[in-house]
Amino acid sequence: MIPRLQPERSKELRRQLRRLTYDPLTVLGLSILAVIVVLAVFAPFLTPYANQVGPYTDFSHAYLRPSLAHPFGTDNVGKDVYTQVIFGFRISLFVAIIVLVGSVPFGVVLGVAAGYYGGWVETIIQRVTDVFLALPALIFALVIAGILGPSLQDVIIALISIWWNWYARIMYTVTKSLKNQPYVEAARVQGAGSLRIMFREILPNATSTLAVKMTLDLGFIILIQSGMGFLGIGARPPTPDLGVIVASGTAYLGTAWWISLFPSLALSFLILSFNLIGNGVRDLFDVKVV
Amino acid sequence: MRFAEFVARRVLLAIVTLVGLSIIIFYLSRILPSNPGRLALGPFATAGQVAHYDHLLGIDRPLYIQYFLYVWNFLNGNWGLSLLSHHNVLSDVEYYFPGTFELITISIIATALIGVPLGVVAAAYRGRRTSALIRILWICGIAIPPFTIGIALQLMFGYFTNLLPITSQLSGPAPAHITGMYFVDSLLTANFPALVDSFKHLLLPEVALSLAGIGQIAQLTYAGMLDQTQEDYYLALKAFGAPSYPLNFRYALRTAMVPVLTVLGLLYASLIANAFLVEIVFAWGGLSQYAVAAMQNNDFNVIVATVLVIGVFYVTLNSLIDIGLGYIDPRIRLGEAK
Amino acid sequence: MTALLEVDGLNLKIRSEGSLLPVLHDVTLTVDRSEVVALVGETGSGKTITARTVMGLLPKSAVVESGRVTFDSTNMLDGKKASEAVKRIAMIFQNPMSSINPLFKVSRQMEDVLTWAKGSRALENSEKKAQIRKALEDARCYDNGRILDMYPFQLSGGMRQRVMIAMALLRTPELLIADEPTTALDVTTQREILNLLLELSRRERMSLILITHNLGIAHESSARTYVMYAGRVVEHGRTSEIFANPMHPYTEGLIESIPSLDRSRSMGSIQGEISQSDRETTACCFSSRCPYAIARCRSEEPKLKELMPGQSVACFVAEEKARN
Repeated sequence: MIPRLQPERSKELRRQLRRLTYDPLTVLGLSILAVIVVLAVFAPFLTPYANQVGPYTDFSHAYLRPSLAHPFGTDNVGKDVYTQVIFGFRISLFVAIIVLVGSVPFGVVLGVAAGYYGGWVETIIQRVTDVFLALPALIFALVIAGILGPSLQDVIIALISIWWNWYARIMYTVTKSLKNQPYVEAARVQGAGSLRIMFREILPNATSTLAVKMTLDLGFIILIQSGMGFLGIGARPPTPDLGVIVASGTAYLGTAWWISLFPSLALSFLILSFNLIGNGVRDLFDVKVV
Repeated sequence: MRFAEFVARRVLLAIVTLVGLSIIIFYLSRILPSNPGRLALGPFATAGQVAHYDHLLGIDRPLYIQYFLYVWNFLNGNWGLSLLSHHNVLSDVEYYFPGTFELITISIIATALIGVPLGVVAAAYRGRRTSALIRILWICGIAIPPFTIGIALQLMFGYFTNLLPITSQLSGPAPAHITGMYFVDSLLTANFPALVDSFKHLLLPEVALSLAGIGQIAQLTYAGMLDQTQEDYYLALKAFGAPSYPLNFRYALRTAMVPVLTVLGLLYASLIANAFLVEIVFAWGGLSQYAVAAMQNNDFNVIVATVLVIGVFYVTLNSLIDIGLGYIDPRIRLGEAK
Repeated sequence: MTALLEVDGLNLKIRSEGSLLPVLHDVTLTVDRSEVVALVGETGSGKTITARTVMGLLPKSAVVESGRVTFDSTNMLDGKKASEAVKRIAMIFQNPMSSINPLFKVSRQMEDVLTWAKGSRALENSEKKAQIRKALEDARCYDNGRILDMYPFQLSGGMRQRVMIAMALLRTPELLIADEPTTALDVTTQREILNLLLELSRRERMSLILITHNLGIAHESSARTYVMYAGRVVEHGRTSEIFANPMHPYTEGLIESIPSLDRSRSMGSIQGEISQSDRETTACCFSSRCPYAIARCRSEEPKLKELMPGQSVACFVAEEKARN
């Protein structure tokens, strides 16, 4: 897992990014993601029934089979499933990005600090991460979100409070292993301050590992968050969360299978795209992610 | 560091972690809800009822005393009452746990028995196509949410066709109770009809639960075996005349298995999370269903207790993996010499 | 007396992404019984792959286009015919830290090596154990009871190399190929291992091919030396002669780059490195780096010519010099 010693220059980075496009699986992942992102961002303009999002019922149009007017059919209260799914993408992407934004910087900083300073800083942060990683993420998130309240906000808070621990762990391991490398010693001898060492010498070496993990995590967060929605914790109807939609369709599986199936497929494709891209990035850097 | 010391350290760490976990969960469940009594009893209860409930829960005492009381009770088997079932949570857990345990244990065994040979065979036939196939199996397996696989299976085998049952653990009578796990019990009591019944009910949930793991393990074994063929010792052993069977199945496989076993162990621990989703889809009636119902209804005693049980399970398993790894890899067991 | 090992005009290519890349070109070398021969060259010169061809350890993508490899009159390129003969050859590798599987005890691996070399039914258990102990002793692993019970990672680099030598001895080889046996070790241990190999060669009347990039090591140990570059033999002859009077510019460069304490001149170095075009060229393979290259060097391929008794070189510049 020893990463490169030199920080990447931007030209080098661009060349690497172009190499990403050589792998067909990665390209597939990028294409799927691109389609989904476009759909999600421009959702109000691209969906025929954007007005149905939120509390809305129209029982005269409920349980309609997939047709030209309703490519994914309609659900138990008459909403067009296709529209719900597209808006569901918005939620999934939003949650995933926010959770990463909230947890990565925090986790990285704490992890590097723990690895670099050692002592009681290390001990405290280690023990805290141990506790937060003592349960599978889904379960911990269910508990925290379940206790905090039934809103999407609380899901995000719950996920952030769990996710930073992984980044702290990774950066701790990396920092510890790099702390005694010759070039760090050299920097120290030259009088570089601790902060500078941490962020200029140690951190850049982990960028490849972090990049891979963050990409894969986007998919993983969506997986967990949709699972929570499926279980009814966090997002609840009428929020068009993909997991929620699937759950709402389970009672009608035999008769109106499209309600559960299409959002399930949508979720799978979204998560799949992140996995494909993440694996492509990993192959690019030839990195072993913990 | 000798092995005993290594084990002792690991166990200590586990205990500390569990204590920390219990504190966090307990405090979360007591601090955050602004009024647990009100939350539990609903808007129509009178103030007096809420106050009485609060007193029952011991909420009027200082938090740390509540915590110690709780721990004391917990260790003594008094896990509080469930709001929904009105039983001691311990007895509920005893009732529901075997179902979940059976589900995940069979899953991990199947994953190992299918995934590892799959990877070894693929490595023997190595080539672009096998590599791509294994990759696809792996990536798709982890990308598709377990509840999606579950629902798809239900549709295929339960609704569009009628080949397999799609809910709960049994359709007919249960076998005699030895472990509480229907498959195991019917094996132990040679109860053939119950065995077939429970097997049919196990199939679909197991597929939903194990697919991701099988892909992961196959890929890991495949890559690991291929890596071994590039290792220096592989060439050296070949130069010493090693025939391909001992070379691959003894030397290479054993060396490649170390990370595979680690992942198998970690997978086992995390299966309990995916079991939550699969159990709901298939109405399996295990611990996860019980816990989810509690979460949906703010049944705090159940939430805290089940989370602690899962936590103990998870932490214990992780510790065992670490210790087991330390044993298998003699480098850790005997301490690296320079 | 016929040589023990004869490699004659070996042309080897590797299949890579649809095309055949040349790796060895017209390689010829011989090793007599009880002789120590050095095979010298830098990384990528083809010395290891030549050894692997003798042992039959080529990757699936390797194609032998032409040439012969004979060991005691057995054709080593024919897998079936060679399978018995190859048991009389042993090869040890350069990185003892990674060349022995770390997860299996020394005793286990040595028993396996013995079984593979001699057959499982050929020996009694006690006989096996005796042979293993003797091999360890011969390889100067004293305290072998303790070593047998250990895992390879518990041993030092030098000790591991000795264990590998012991494993090789279990095969009672007539020819031992040592691929850079001392490169990964510290200087003192290098000397010990080298002396051990030479003594074993003497005592057991075992031929030894010493593969190294260090001409100094070759000078101290071998009777004859082959210098390889970009998959070709560019010079060969008696080691003492080559050292005193190098004819090929590459050999000259190698000698100059040997670090020495008692010479006051600065250490030379050869600029550049072997590239794939060097291997594929129809001209002199060294011409791109050669300080003496003339026009002819870049257009024609020099063949090995015996310019002095017992010393051959493939170089037009050397030919010119010899004529004058």
